Amino acid sequence: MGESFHRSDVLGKVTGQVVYGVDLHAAHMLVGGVVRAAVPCGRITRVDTSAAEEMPGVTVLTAADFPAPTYGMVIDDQPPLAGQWVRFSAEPIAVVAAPDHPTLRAAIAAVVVDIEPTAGVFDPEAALEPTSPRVHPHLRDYRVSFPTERDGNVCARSIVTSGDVDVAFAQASVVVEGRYTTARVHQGYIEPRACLAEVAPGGGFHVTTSTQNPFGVRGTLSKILDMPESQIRVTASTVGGGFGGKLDVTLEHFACLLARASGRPVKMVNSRAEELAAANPRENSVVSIRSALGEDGRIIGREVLCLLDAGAYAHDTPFLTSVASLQATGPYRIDNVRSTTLAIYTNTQPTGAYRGPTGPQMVLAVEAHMDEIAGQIGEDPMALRRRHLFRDGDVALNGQVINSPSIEECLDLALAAIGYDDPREPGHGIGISCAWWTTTAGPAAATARLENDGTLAIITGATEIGSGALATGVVHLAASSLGLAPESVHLVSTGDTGTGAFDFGAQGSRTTFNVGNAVLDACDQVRLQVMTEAATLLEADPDDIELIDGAVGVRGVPSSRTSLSDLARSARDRTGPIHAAARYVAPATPFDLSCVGPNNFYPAFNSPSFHCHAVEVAVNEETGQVDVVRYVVAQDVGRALVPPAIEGQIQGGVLQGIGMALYEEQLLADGAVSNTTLDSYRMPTSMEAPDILCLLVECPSEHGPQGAKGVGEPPIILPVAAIVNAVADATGVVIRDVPLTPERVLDHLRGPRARTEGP
Amino acid sequence: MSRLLLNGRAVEVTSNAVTPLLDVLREELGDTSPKPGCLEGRCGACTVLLDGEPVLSCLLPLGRALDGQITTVRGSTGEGDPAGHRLNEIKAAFARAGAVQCGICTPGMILATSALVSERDRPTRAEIQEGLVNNLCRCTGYAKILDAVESLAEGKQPGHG
Repeated sequence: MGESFHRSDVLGKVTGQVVYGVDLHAAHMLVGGVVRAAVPCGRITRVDTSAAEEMPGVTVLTAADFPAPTYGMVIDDQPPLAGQWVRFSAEPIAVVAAPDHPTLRAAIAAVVVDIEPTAGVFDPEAALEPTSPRVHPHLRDYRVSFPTERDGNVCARSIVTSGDVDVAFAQASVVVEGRYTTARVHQGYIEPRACLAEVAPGGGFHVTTSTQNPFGVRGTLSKILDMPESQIRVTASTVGGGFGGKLDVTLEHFACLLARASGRPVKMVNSRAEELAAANPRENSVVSIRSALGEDGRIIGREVLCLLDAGAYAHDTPFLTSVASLQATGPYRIDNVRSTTLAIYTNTQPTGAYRGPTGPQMVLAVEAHMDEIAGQIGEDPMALRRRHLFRDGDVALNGQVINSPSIEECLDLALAAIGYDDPREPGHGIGISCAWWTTTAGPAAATARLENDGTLAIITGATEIGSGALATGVVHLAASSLGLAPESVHLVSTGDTGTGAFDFGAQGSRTTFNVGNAVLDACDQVRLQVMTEAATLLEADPDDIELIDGAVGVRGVPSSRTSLSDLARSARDRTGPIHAAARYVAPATPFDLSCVGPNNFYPAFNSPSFHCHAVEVAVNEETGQVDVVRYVVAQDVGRALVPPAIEGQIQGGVLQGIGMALYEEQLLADGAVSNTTLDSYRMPTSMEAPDILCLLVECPSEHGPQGAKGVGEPPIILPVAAIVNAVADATGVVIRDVPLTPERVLDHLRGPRARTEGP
Repeated sequence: MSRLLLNGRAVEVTSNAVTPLLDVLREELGDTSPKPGCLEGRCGACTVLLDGEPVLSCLLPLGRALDGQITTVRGSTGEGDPAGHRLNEIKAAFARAGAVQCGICTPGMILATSALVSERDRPTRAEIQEGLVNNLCRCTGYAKILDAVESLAEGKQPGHG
């Protein structure tokens, strides 16, 4: 356990006073809801809203009421409301506002929708068949905001290549293959999506919403509503969990137009069933991987094909294809690589980013495959890893040069802590996974202001979604920069397009890194203003001024000490208030264009971090139950700014990963999600929380604030692979499909494939 | 009109007896500290105390709460209020231990903890895990929540273990 620490939003949270999206309220507001399709694929033949509209105080909107016919983060493929075609079960067809919930429920039920079902496709591999139904027959005609290679049901294709993979396989003495699948899993934030829209004086909109990305929401609203961004203000409420699921509009556009049509503020909240059936969960995936081995057992070539099920609309999945492709080698040097990732439409709920997007799927494939290679050539899996680990100066598959990789240190620490070389208890197994990950860039900005009471106010368009990236990380950076106590730094405005400059959103482990750099810059400017004012006030040379413990003074003259409060007042009246704004964009990470084609949104891993997870599991061979006994994380964090906050990120991410490995799974029946309650979609409880040992490795980033790297996402990307490897270690059976439910484990232990199963 | 005892004070409510207590608290009385996470009794974010016992207010009809004392984190400090056993101490322990991230589960988690430590003075880690099993947290992996509760039992400062 680390030392206790300050978190700026904690008092409001433990006393229940902060306002989440679900808590929003406005005088005279209406409540809004969505009429959804009940079939996964079909032609809409009738939408009759007349009975609903006759109800007192009820407003109903349909497809024709929306200015833009379609929108999307990458491909404009999604109608705000379906007007002609339904492409997934639970797709929105009409939206309703009513004075109260009973009226809302009655009005939603009174909207008559007739859909003529058509043949759909519900599986990404089936969707690749030339004869399969096309989810978007006119895909090539759609407008895109980033080039994607699209054809048939493929909405994006990423290819990253290095060396000559065909020659490598031709020269191989051994080829090892594997195919790994993962189920669709939900971010599982406890607060459903919720927002409140009001028509602003002058005709624009003010939307308050539980979002990770207010500027992204504003951009999409501008597109859908055909309104300049300057007329739309988006304010993030306190966010009750996001994990990538709250990056773009879901209800906000509906609430805006209902507010305009009804003349009243409109609040909308998803039900849990809507969250599970019509949000953007993590893509189910199929990853095929093969490696060519030289005579000395060196991996001389690798080919990977990753299929990501995008669902009915592309959302951000095209962006994620390149993130997947970059993970084909893991943190190992392999010189000849062809890595292909496809995002594939199906008639299912659209998928999208979930913490460490594509990470769990790709790390599973790479790391389970490493163990299988070792098994096939009779080598210790750790020795195989060590022979291939990135070394300083190695070149990754995208041409990116790897500087000071800390992966071997992470591996050493994790193996020692788990006791890898110790004998196993009967029925127990130990699994290891290694990975590298990125710290996402993207613009950030912040203003720092010295208040009259000597505290520092921070204003930023970035959003605190609970990770503590702002409430601990950025607060810590500002405080340490100016020699203040963390309690003297206040986040006075965050996540508000009306007050802060643009921020790329709380995503990609980026907030502390990018906003932190902007804040450090602003604090440097504030310090300069403080020094200048102090020199004038104290009649001293600026070089002789020191700033310590919230006060300034002339070095060596204790009697000159003046509080920052007095200094702030003095400056305010003499030169104007002390404050500074700063902006930041991380330098681009160099990569080789001949390796990474133009359709790769994410061509390189910025300030890469390195990771090793080690887990001990117990497998009950009678019941198929897998229990996590012990868990060790060795994570390169660059510089540990606030260790307990980092541990919290690790422990939370690991448990989400354990859920994905062992039981979380969205079940689809003819394309529709069939488990839409938290009883049937089971997430880890306190009973399933293992002890997690967090070992923080500090290998500083050249560009990170005080050397820090992103820490939020990586903890979730390694557990699935580590647990699959541990179960194989315990049982001798490799199960290549997750989750490892008791039924699936028993099936493998008892079935004909047990112990003799080939790739 | 019925009377409800909320955080030691009598309040009058007009909602009918079958209205979920959660709606009465949030919409009629303006106490939004119990959270609507799933509205199906599974996530525990709506947990409040009824006579010191944790109940899922999204499922509990108002009529079943009329004779009892209701405790929420917003209204109760736990001082001089036996129904909100050690609440201020628990809130401080959660803050110190880093048991709060997004915080949406926190009010329910704190109230469940209050009930747990009023029953068992020194619960083991396994007993704490069992005692909080009805309250889902998606951010923390529970570890620092368990640390916070353990620190109460041990009477030590969490974070200095």
